[in-house]
Amino acid sequence: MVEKFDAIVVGAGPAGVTAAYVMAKNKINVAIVERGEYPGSKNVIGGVLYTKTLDDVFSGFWSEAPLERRIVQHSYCLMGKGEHTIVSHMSTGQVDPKSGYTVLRSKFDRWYLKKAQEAGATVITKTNVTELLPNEDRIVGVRTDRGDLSADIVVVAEGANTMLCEKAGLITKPRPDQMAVAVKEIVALPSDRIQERFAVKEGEGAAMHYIGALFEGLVGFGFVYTNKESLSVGFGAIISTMMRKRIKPYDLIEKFKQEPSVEPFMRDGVVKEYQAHMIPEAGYTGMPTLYSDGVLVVGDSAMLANPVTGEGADLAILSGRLAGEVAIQAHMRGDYTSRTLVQYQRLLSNSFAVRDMKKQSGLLKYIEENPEIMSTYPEVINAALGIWFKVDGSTRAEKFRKIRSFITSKRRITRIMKDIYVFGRKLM
Amino acid sequence: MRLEEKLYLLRHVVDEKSHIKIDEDACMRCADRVCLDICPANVYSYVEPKVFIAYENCVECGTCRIACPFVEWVNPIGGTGISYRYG
Repeated sequence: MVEKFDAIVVGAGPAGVTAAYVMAKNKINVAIVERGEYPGSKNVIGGVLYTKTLDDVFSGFWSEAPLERRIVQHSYCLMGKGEHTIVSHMSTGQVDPKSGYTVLRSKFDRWYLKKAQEAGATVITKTNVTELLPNEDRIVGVRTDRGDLSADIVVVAEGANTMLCEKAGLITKPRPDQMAVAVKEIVALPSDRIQERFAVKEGEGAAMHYIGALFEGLVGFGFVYTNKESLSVGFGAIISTMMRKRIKPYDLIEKFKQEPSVEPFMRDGVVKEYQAHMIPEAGYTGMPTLYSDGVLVVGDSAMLANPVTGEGADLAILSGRLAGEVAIQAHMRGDYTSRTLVQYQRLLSNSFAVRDMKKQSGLLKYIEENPEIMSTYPEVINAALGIWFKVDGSTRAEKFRKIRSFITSKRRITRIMKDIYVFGRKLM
Repeated sequence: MRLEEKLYLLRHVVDEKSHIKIDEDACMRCADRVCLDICPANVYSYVEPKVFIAYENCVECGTCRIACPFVEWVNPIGGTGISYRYG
C-alpha cells in the first residue's frame, strides 16, 4: 500500500524545511524527503544568511541555531589591474541579532530539519524523488527510488536543478544566461587571525563582495565571508558568459584567490573543501508560475534569488513559510486546487523581497546588454582615486582635469548620465 | 592548488551506475564540447574519438545540464553522490 500524507515536501534545504516546519506546527501530517546522505549534504550557500525571514518563522533562532559569525561589516571591493578600492561599512553600535550570519549548511540544515522533525514532520533521507505523480491534471504524490508516496499537496523544494518541475511541465529548463555557477572553497584559519585580519571581535564577521573583471570581458562576482574558523571564498559567473569565453570555473577561483585584494585575507589558510553550485540569476522575469493543482514550488526551484543583493536562502525561507501557510488553508478548506493555491503566488509577489526583484529586473537586463559597465566603473573609480591620492607635482585642478578626461575616454558623458538614471530608477 | 587535490578533499558515496548520460554520436560530432571547460569538477574529458565521464567526481551542480543539450543529467540515487562536510 502506498503511504499517504497530507503533504509531502521534496528537498530539505531552507525552503523545504520551513514549509514542513510551518505545516507540522499546525498539525498537518507532513513528510519531507531528502536525497542526501544527511540534511545539508548536497547544499551550498555563499555564506551569509540574512535572518529576517527566519526570525518570522522561528523567533529567537539565534539563541540555538548553529551560526558562524554575526556580520557587522559589509564591503564592496572594486577590483582593478594593480589597484583596488574597498568601500566598507562597519556597525559598532547596538547588536541586532536579526541581521545576517554566516552559516555552514551541513550544520545549519541539520539543525533546522531537526526543528521540523520535533514539530512533528516525518523525515525521510537518502531518498530521491524522480517524478511528481499526476492523476488527471493534478499532482497527487511523488515517485521515489524507494517507492511511491501520496499526498494532497506536494511542495517542491528541489533546489537549482529543477528536473521535477520541468518534467511536470511547471517550468521550462533554464537557459545558460539565466543561471550562474559559483565555485567556493572553505579555507581554514584560526579564529584570532580572522578577527585581526578583518578587524572584528569574537563572534562577529565580515562580508566582502568583489566586483570587476577577472578576465577580459567576463562579468562575475566574488566574495569572502568569515566563518568561526574558516573563510568562505568564492567566485561565480553567468554560465553563458563562461561558455563564450571558454573559462573553467576552477581557473576562475584560482585567479580570484591570487588577487591582491583577496590573497592577504586567506594567506596561510588551508583549503578544507571545494564546492560548486548553481544560482538562479534570471530575476523576476525568469520566475515561473509557482503553483498548480496539488503543487507549490519554493526556493531556488522558484528562481528566488536576488542577484543584486546576494539574497537566496532568506528568500527560500520566506517562500517556504508562505507555501506552508497556504497549504494549511488548503487543508482547512479541503481544496488543493489552483483556486486556493494561487494565494501563494499572490502573497509572494506582494512580499518585500519579490517587489525588490520586480523593480530590479530591468536593471539586470540593462547590465546584460551593457556588460562593460561592470568593469568600466571599477576601472574608472580605481584610476580616479589613484590620481587623487598621488602627490606628483600636479595641482588639484590638473588632477581633476586628468580624472575627467580619463573618465570620458572610457565612457561618454551621455552614457554615464544614462547609467546613473537607470540605476537610480531601478534601485529606488 | 591543483583541482585534483581539491577533488581529493571531497567525500562521495559512489553508486556503481552513472547518473550522467551523453548522446555519444552528438558528442563525437560536437564542435564546441563546452562540457570539457564548464564542469567545475572536470568530470568530462575527451580522448579521440569520444567523451569520457568520470561521474564519481561529480559535485552535482548541474551546470553541464544547462550548458549542453546532449547531457542527460539526473540526481544520483538517494544516499549516494557528493556529501559536503561544510557546505
